[in-house]
Amino acid sequence: MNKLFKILKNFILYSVKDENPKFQFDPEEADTQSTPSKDITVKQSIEENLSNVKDYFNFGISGDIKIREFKISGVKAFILFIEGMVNTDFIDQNILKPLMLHSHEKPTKDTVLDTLITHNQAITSGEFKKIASSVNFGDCAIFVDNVDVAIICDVKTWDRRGIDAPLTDAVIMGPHEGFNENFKINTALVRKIIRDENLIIENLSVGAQSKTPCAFMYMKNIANDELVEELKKRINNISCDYIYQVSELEQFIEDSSFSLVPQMLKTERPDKTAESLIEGKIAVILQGSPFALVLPITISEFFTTVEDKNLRFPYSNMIRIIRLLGILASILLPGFYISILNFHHEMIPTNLLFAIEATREAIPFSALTELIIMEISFDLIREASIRVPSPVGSTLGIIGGLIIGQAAVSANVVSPISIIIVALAGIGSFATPDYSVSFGFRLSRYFYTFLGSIFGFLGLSLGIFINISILCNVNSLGVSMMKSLDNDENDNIFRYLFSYPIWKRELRHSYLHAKHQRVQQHISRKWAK
Amino acid sequence: MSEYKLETKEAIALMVNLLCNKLFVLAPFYLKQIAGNTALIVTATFYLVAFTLWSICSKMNDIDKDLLDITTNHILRKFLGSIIALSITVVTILTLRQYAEGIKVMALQNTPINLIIVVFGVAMLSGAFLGLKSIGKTNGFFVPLIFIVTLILVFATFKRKDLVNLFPVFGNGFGNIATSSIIMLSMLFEVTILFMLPSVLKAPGDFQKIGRYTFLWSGICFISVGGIYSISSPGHQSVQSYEPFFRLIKQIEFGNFLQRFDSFFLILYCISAFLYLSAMLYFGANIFAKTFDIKKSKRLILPIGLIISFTSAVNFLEEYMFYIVGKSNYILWIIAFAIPLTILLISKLRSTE
Repeated sequence: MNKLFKILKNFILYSVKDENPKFQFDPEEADTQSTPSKDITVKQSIEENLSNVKDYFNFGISGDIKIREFKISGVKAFILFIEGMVNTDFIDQNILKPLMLHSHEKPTKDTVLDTLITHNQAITSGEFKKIASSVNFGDCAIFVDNVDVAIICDVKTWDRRGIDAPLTDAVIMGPHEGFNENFKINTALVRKIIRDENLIIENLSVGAQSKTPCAFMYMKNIANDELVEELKKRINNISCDYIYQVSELEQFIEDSSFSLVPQMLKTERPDKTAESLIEGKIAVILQGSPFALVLPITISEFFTTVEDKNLRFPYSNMIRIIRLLGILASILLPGFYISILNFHHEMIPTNLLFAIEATREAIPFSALTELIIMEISFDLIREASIRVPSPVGSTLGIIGGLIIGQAAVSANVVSPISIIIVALAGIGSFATPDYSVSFGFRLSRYFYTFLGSIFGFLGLSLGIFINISILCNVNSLGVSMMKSLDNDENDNIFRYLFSYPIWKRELRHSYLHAKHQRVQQHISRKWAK
Repeated sequence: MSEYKLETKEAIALMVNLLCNKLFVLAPFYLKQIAGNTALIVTATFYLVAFTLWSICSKMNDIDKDLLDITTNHILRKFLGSIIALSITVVTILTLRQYAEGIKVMALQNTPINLIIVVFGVAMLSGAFLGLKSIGKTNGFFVPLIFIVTLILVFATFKRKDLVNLFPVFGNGFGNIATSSIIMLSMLFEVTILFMLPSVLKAPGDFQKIGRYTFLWSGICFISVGGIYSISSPGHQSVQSYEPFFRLIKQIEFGNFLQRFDSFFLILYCISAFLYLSAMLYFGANIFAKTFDIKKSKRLILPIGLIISFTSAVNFLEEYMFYIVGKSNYILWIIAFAIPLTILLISKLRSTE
């Protein structure tokens, strides 16, 4: 009976037997001593090198580390690479084949490098750290007996996304090339636009463990040296294990971490990056991230798009004004509406006031509650539609926007005017060209709504004043974000806010202190003399 | 990091706002009350007197030294610094109260005055705490906007003006106007801050230029507003009004949609007040720190700001505001003009000796 009960119990409830106690992780007793970093050099003996490589790369534990042993004219050698990151055909044809078949004398460093390996990118190194760093990034290393260096060949290749149209910086008139996750391709895209030897692309790496390759780009004959040195200093002085994305790098090098406004421009567009470099700015591209960081910038850069320059200037000015109104609406409209409704009724015509009051008559909530409900619902729909697959996203938008909105009005939960206000503010935030700054605007909209509901225009003014005062103290690589509103003689606010005919854009922005202030001749259209 | 210095344009904007802000509160009322129909003449006269006095002072001033730097006598320096810092504090208290009462009358009738003072206090403290850079840049950005919109608003009321008021009855005569004008100099008490500016300027050589432009722009604003207010309505109406500028703006009628521009004016009013209060608090704390050799003036901002806010909230001020402001006009011009003139004169004489 007891046995039967035990069989039934085991059948229904599976449990580990008592003699194998459950694993209990005790953080206090756990060994947190990390393996010390190894500082090994390449030796003459191939056996010693092989043993060191196996030990260094955890060969046998890491399944993707490959070592192929072979002989060059009877001398022992081996090649080390990581499977999946290298072009194996290339290794076979251009490295192994010449070494194994075409060698007729005892191999030395020079013979291998100069006469055998038919590859354009081959270097030597005696330090294991450097060899490991290269191999981890898709290179291969060749060790030969009696040679105290390894030959490193760039054979990296891996599956990657092609060059697609940018998602966040889309334009109608203009190039449709965007960065992808490969930083070499990204730098090449920029180099393709700026065909000038003064374009410097320095290779740095960030993250002690990740060693993420980073391209640091600037125009040697334009960019201010002080800005270049400052940014380089900041990047070189980051002490952390991993950095994967430019957004993480941005947080490590920005001036004010607590500001609602980002202090760098993140763009997916090579043409925008190239244009910024020509202007005298600095760009940073990171391996694995389809964005370039551009700095220093001012607040006005968030209101302009590449398209503005591709359009005739009256059209682009019209669009800029509409965009500015949209941005203002996205920040202030709900606060403005609630201020008028609570404190300044006299501002709107009596008929409109009666109409608004009539629609709000049956609503049980205060105007503030109504707006907050709508704002949160709007943000919820937006957030949910990003997370769901794209075919469902549009359905979600229809359900959220139309059906729930209509139902909420019918049920007297919110008034139609509130929906109009929140929808206009939402559309205004979509008109913001920069994706990251629109978050700041969305967040400040809540503050303005609260302030407007409590103090009316006094509250709104308080918000505007504090916001701009804080913004005045925010710097982008030491340059004030409000520099564009300084009204310098040659660089006034209109130059930042409005578009000019291309032949009138003669000077670079003064805040960059570029080595050459002039972009073009005073009379650039010489035929018009 | 180097200490921020004010750009010339920022300094002009700052000074224009400091001198003109009183137009939004009680200045037009006092002009009308003291000078009656001769307010326009009084305004023009006291501006001319002020500019002349300042010009004399600026000619005697070393370009890179402020008033406290010039005063070499240790005790006199402490006395002068204390007097200036104290008077700035008192003027800020009175102006804060006037702004708060103004906004209560104009828009927030059901909101307790103390709560409104708290809002102004928060703006004042945040503005001053964020420092000179923020003060300079916000003034540089907002003041030209406020200036242009104010002039547009004032001239938009022109159809209501009775030009007959431009030909005033002189009453007791020219002597009376001249006496009134000297008292009215107190309205430009903030000139004191102009004398303290050289040490915080990026280009101290522009000190005289800053003064000239300050007087030019603020003069245009003062004379336009003061003059148009004085000719806008019969004397008995204008002297009774509590919010003179607001009442002036209320006369505008444009179209059917935006019926009342005065509500928009509230935003200008509030931002101008915030700029004024934060700058006054910052300079008050700065002068106090410099007088008593306190290294970090930022530490004084919170206590002085709280003292100003709490004192403004005292109910006593509600009853005696007009009286105190009226009486202070007899003293403030001495601090703003007479004392600097005397000190600079002594300093000049000493240096020539």
